[in-house]
Amino acid sequence: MRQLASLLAVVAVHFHQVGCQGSRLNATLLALGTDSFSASWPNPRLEAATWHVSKQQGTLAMFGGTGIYTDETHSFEETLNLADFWLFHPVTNGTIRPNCSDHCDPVTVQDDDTNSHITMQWTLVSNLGQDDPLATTSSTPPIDTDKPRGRTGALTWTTLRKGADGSYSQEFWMFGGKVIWNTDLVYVILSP
Amino acid sequence: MWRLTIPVVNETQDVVEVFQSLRWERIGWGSSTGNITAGYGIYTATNESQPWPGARQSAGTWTHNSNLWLFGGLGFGAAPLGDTDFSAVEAHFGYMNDIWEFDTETFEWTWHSGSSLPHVYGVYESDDIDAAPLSPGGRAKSSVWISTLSYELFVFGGYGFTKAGGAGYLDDLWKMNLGTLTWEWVGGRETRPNQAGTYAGPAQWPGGRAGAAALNVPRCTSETLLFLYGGYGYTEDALYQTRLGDAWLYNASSESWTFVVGSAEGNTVTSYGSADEGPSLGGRAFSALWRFAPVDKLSCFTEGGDITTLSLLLFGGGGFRDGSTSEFQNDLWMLVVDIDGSDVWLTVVLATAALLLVGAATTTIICVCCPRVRKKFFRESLCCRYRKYSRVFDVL
Repeated sequence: MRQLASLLAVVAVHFHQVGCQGSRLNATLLALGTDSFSASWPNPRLEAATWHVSKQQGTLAMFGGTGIYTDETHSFEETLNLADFWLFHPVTNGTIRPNCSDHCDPVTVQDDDTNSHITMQWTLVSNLGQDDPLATTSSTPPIDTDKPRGRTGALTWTTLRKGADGSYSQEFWMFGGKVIWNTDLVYVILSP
Repeated sequence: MWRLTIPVVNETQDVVEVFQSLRWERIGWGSSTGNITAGYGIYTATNESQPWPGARQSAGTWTHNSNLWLFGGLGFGAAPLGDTDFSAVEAHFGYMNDIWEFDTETFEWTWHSGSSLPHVYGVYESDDIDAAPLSPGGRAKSSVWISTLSYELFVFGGYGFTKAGGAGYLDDLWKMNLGTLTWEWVGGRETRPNQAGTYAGPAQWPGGRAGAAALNVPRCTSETLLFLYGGYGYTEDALYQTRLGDAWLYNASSESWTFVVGSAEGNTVTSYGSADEGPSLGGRAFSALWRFAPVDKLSCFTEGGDITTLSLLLFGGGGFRDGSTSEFQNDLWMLVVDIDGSDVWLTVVLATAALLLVGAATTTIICVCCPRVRKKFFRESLCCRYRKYSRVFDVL
């Protein structure tokens, strides 16, 4: 059941300041999320692999983690190591995808630097991960896959590289992590 | 090892379209079978001749000189040649304290230091020059920061070993010189894990924990600030482990922790607010944390470029919300940390005094890039330009 749109909220809260020496922290709830699988909001998870996207204001990338998968009727719930790739990125009227209507789940973020608001949303990038988290629980995952298997606690890095033509590119790196190899939850740590 | 290469995306391009055109690459040596032991040049479990780290998760990572580095983690150390059955290999599984570098040009690994075996104890202090060099014990899920200002790596806590006893939640803080790769024990308990934190007074210190959300705070001034939120471990008592809801700042110049805000109690429930009170984040472990501030804006070159607030996005992780028994969350929070300005002003005072003593040409003085100083005296100095580039590196 996709109730995410109705669950989203933009509210602000300030922690009561305790024991600090001039520093403060404000925690603002941007969105509640949902416990159902959604193509427009990542399902609950721990220890995802994350990166920043250089030169793109606030754009973030996330892969996998240990997550909860629940179907739309909540008929079952399963803990998985996920293989989905998400971008959290700014959207404008000109860049909102044509098929994005009621379930885009945009989030408005305050940009303190410019004293303005930025609208952002999650997008599932299917060519860089698995849309279906259950696909990652196969007992015989392919050896030469063109995508990383679902995993949690993977090691990540980001580098910049200057090409021969003088242009720069950004590189995301990922190593290791833990996968659930079989449906009987035998844990295996992978090197690739 | 997997690599995703992203071309620079200009402001007019749709970043999603760019990512939808990309493909993962498998880079260098790696096993598809799992549970691979390490090759340290001493032992090898396969016929591969080059060194490689064993399969692992939850290690500390950083980049340096365009190469990829890792410290420790939970995984496999070296196994003697011929150990190919699972039970033998499994005996080499545990908490590591090794340091590896992956060359992004040659795709080769180099083992720099640390043990090739899991579950080693830390070496915290020694006056004996013949004794083993200082090193943290094997551990995983530590908080790791890198400071390009001080050229140091910081490692706090995690789950692993002190200098004796069994594994537990650590509260020790280490720093490592990135040039010499030598460790220094900064503070925290060295005799045993699972210790409570100190939330008030002059000796504030976080309790033992793993899986905290942590990032360094990029600054133009010389002090290094480290931010940490939550994790799984101990609050102000050491009775049991909980999901923590406390926020801390570490100042590397004064080598002091400050409890910023949050709860000194454990397992505080995430609340999304009611008619009477607003939402509160509560205890949270193993969350994803990003900086929200764009790289371009963290420039000490522009007037007022030094940040006084740090905007972070926190997603999901383990915690409990009102009325739910599930530990897994996917809510999204923005954390805005207002940095205390007192350290900046202290730097200004010291720099001004030094300026009177040794003259305006002293490089050390020029390198004080506090915007309030630079605005008047050192606008666009060479040092500030250097700081600009180091800041870009730092943020990445």
